[in-house]
Amino acid sequence: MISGKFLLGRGRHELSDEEQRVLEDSIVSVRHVAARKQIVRAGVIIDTSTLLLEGFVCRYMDDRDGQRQLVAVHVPGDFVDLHAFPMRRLDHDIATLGPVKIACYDHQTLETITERYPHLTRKLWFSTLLDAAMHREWIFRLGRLGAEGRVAHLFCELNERLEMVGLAADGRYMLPMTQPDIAEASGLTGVHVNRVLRSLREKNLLTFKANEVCILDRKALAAVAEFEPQYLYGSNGS
Amino acid sequence: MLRPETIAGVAAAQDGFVTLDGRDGLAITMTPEAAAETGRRLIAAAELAALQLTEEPPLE
Repeated sequence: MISGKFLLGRGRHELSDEEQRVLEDSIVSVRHVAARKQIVRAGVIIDTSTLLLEGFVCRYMDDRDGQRQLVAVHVPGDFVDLHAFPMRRLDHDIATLGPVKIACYDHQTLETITERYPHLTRKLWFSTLLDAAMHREWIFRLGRLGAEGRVAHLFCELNERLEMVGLAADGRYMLPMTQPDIAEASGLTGVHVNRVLRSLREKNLLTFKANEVCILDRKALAAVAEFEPQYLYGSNGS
Repeated sequence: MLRPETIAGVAAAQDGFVTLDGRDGLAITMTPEAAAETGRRLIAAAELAALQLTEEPPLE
């Protein structure tokens, strides 16, 4: 089942067999998109929403000088732009980080789901509320934490989310982000991120090399990040 | 509400730039020239602010 990562680790088991089948059968197309490609442009009316099957995408906004600020990173199992279903357009762009595989859902089909499957609809609603919870946490992260805390928080959050969908274990996971990407997700310069990564490595908290993240001391890294995973609403209570 | 910081920021040289870190989200990278000029302006402002503290008690 290619949609099997949707809400994995966050109550997917509460979906009935029929609801899982409806979600699977409603996919109208599956696309492979290369790395560093825009898949949704801000302001453009869209009639499909995207479930991320493999790979990573980001939401971002550009400032007047064209400098990019990442406002979210999505991992497999995330419904990337489900809110475009009621809103019809996005107020930000979406692009791939590495190569991705995505499943597309027609908004017309989603409308049918909302009319016939109220429990599944609530689960879809839940997934957009998760996005809102993560946005709140990112506001806190960028507004209150220093450079080390911001970067540490990003790695802690991704570790938690990837563990839920079986793509991280023992603090290790693959992440197709560059130092400039991390800078854009953390309101920092690349120079600053380089310094922070070195500091985290020297403190034996984390290494990030060749796209592999290795968290060496999860508890200490979480302390630097002021990271509490409750806002991710995992099934295990985190 | 944030309160004025009492702990000095930490400045460091990295790859030909100056990073300045501190609490409450302070994290900036500057060119050496911008950093030096900021330092001069900070010192001037600090001297003025120190005088203000002795002249005018803060509002409650």
